[in-house]
Amino acid sequence: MMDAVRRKPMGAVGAVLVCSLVVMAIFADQIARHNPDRVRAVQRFQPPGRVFWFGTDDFGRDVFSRVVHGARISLQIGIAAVLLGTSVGALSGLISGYVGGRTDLTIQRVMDALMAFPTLVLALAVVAALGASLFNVIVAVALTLIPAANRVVRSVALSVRETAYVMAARGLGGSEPRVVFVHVLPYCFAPYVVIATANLGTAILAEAALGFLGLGVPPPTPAWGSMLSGAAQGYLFRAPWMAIYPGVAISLAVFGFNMFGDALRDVLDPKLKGH
Amino acid sequence: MSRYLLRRLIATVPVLIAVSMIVFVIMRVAPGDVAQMLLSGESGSVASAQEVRQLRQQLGLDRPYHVQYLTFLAGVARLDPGTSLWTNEPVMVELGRRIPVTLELAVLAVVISWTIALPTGVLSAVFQDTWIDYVFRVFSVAGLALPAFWTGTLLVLLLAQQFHWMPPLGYVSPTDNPRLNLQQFIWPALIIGYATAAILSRITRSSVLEVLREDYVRTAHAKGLHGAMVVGRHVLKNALAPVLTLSAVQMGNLLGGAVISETIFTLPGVGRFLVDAILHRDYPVVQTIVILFAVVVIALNLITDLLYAWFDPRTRYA
Repeated sequence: MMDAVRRKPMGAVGAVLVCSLVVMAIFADQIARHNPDRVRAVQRFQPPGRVFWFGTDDFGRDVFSRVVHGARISLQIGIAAVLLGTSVGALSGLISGYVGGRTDLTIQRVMDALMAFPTLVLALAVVAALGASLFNVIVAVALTLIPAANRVVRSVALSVRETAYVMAARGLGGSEPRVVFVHVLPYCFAPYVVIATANLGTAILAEAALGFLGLGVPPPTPAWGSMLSGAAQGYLFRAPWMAIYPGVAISLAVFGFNMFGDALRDVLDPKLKGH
Repeated sequence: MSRYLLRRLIATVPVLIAVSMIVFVIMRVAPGDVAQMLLSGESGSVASAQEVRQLRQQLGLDRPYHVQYLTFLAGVARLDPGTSLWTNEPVMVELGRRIPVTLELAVLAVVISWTIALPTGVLSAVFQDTWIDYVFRVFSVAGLALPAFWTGTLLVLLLAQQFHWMPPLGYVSPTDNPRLNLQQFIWPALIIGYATAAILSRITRSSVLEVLREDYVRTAHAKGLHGAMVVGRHVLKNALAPVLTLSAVQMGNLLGGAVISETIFTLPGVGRFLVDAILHRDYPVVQTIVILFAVVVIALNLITDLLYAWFDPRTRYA
């Protein structure tokens, strides 16, 4: 354990941040000092202090409690979007690489089209189309993650399908689905984990950006990006804490996932071993 | 070379058609009727079904979807994608006003990102595992984690509270007043540039590290060449190819960054126009801007591939 911390100190910092985020999300009700949605008309714009650690917002709601509960939303969206996006990407990449031919060509042109969209623009358009809700934000963010997972897993599938043991499995009469899922799929697992972890930070950032532009999880749900938009911008000079703390939370979460993802990639990617 | 270019150009056609189809479908499934929104206007009053039907007919929105799509596609091919449903002005005229804003922002951001990324990435690699390396790595990792919309907000707060100065609102062309123009653009460009530099600096570092281990670099050192000369003449040219590739890929994200920065700093660019158009269901505008962005991304990728081949002859038109 100590050896891993010594070898990958930034990864260890990332792991601590990720664990803190997970604990915060699970025990949000216990950690939060107040009800995050409770409106207090007489306590609007209270600066950070003993009662309200991060101050209160324009409705008198406790910013600390909203940041803590926001961790739950961010993590939910991040994990769900990454699982959905990378799984769809990986599965289509597996089929594309293994089957080849016209199937490969069609899937890759769709991926080219998805990659031609700037990430945020695609997510924006999808949320605008489906409407702003928790589920739709997950779908929008997931969609932006599909092409990268597709390309990575496709390249693995392309190389594995030509190996002797896959040909042997086919020669022994194994059905195509059996060969794909039993013999090819396991080889795609390591790159899948790497890309999924690396994308968690991206997904949290994308969700926050959508929230900032007013197309995230609708209020009053405490989501970090949404907390930074609207009133936080309007009252920036009167109550800067409304914008500062959610931003710190987003930055620490993304930093943690990036560092943790980097360390995991170094451990799981054989090409990087020894560097 | 020309055959390779032709093949690549032909390959972009189905991609652009797929992009146009995706965005067409996305906008058509969007809830909210554009005719209803136009008739309600800012007041939010509810228009009668008859009025809505008439306006839909007038705008051509009652035609079958495939007719609407093909009409739009034909318009794009003629560089006349129609009229904005919201402002009632030709989309190309609207874009003509806004493209210079986003272009200036993008160019400034790219210049800033390369100015930051190259020296920090190279120094980080040359002084690997020293305090210089650690400082620059933390600097670049922070750039990846700090959301542009937050750093933009903090920057506005800092400038106003500490220096009692706010970036001028509205847009002044660089030819009218270069100083005021720079005051408007430097902050959003710095924010996007820093975020892009964070990624470029990391890739520059790892690319330079890889090249530094090559035999020919060792030979150059053994010949007695000065360290700076080795890095400048032998390492940089070979290490820059992946940095260049990533830089082009980042341009797509840079356009996304423009959406955010133009919103925070109220710059009337294409990004902000797109957000407004999405919210107003302004179909022709959204479809045209998305296709424009796709063309930019595809063109940049193509230029990068050509430059890559120039940098590294081994990859030439494979």
